[in-house]
Amino acid sequence: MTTPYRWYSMASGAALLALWSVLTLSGLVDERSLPSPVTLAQTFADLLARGYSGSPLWSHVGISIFRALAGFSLAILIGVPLGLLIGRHKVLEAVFAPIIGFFRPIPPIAFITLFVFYFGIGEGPKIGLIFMACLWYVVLNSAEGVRNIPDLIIRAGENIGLTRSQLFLKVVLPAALPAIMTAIRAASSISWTLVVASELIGAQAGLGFMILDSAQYFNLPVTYVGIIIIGLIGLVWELAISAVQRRVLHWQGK
Amino acid sequence: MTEVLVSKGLEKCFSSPGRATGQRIKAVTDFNLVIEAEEIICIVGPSGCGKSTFLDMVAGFTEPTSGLLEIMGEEIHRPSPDRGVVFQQPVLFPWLSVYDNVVLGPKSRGVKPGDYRPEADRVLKSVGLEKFRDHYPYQLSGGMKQRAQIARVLVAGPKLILMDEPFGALDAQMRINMHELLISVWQEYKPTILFITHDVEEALFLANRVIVMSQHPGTIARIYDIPFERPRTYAITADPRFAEARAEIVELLRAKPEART
Ligand SMILES: Nc1ncnc2c1ncn2[C@@H]1O[C@H](COP(=O)(O)OP(=O)(O)OP(=O)(O)O)[C@@H](O)[C@H]1O
Ligand SMILES: [Mg+2]
Repeated sequence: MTTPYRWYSMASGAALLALWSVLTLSGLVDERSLPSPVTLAQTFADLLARGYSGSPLWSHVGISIFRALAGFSLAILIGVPLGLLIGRHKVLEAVFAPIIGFFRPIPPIAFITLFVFYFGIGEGPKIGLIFMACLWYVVLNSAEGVRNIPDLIIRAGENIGLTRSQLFLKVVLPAALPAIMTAIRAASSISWTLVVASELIGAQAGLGFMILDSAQYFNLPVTYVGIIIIGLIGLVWELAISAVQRRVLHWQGK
Repeated sequence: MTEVLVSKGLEKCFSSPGRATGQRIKAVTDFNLVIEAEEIICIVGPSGCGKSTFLDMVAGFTEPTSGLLEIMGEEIHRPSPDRGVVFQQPVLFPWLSVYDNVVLGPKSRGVKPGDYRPEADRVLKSVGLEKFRDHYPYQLSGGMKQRAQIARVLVAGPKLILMDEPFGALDAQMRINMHELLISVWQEYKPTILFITHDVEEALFLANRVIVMSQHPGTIARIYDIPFERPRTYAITADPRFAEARAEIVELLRAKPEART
């Protein structure tokens, strides 16, 4: 974002915070249905000191991040090469088209119960779910990225004498990189959304578990703190990925 | 003189999707040409007469349907830096700097840095890009991109340089600069060049011989020897022989023979 517009963003953020403070601290809204910023700060300090449900706060945060990152990384590690191959070989494309075509439109949330039924409530099903949901995105975008590479740039690579494997690594891969980065961005936000959703179903730890468990005991300040932490981590993660994207794709000159 | 390229009875057919199956159009037919070392050959001809089709076969991007096509006595079957191509569009690798674009070929072929580095420096200097070696393609003008393509081709020491309307997208002034650059590159490296263009003047200015192609059939209609000594300046455009050749070629291109299929 360019500098003059940054002020607008800061102003709207500050206005939201001010409105919330006024509403809650003045008593216009009942503290039990919407906790004030002060209460949330105390709750946060409390969570830091004593943890939640017998585990320290950082372990709830850590386990959620671990699950998201594990599923996300696996999807990239497998999805990018698979997508590049599918984009380059018509046979592979034909083989995978019906499989991906069928599974992709099903919202991943629909699989959560099934995963729990088959695999229980351990780490496996959660990571597997995130992996699966991210995989389609990564595969499809990478394949599309390869398909959109202009013929001429491939010809240029052949013309300077690259072998097939060199052509793949030194031309196809970098040429598809913008599409791959787009896929990685989408997958990162999917993985964070899904980790919370999967922890709502069957988990003994994690941010998703914390907000569901606290809400069931009407401990609303903890629920709010959990949601704010989820939002902040998502934001930082998104900013980090766009920074990486800008660095990796600096040659696009944007 | 060494024969660099030999094309004998060369033919290329494409199956045309519009017509009944089995129907094929002859894009290039009975194409006979011998290119000698250090020649600059320009091909002119109406749009769709098969110029690019011929060049693509020489580059090894497509296989001839029949006939003979040899580079230095060897049949052409695949692309090779021996036959470096300068494309009309600025086809550089956008993720590599100018220098890395130039050295990617030699580096990948296992040439030692001690050998390709001085060579890359030399060709970048020849095309006037030595100060832009660390720039990325998006930072270059259209003319500079074409010069970078020429450097990328030159670094391999090609037997034949193939250029398909390389300056077609540039403005008139830039085109003149590029002609002068190409002539000076030729003076320095004495490469053999096959150059396709729409522009009759460009062809006359650059070529030892101008090949005029006809459409239906896509073949050589006439070959003109252009007698001017190099280095040429734009003064030759005032020479009566230049004007005469130009008038003749323009007339030949205008008079389309009856379409045959
Ligand atoms: N891949 C292809 N499949 C089918 N027909 C083709 C193919 N490539 C070229 N042709 C046909 O072959 C003929 C010659 O095309 P070519 O591109 O060689 O013309 P050109 O002389 O280079 O024209 P221009 O000056 O417009 O670049 C045209 O009729 C074209 O439609
Ligand atoms: Mg053409």
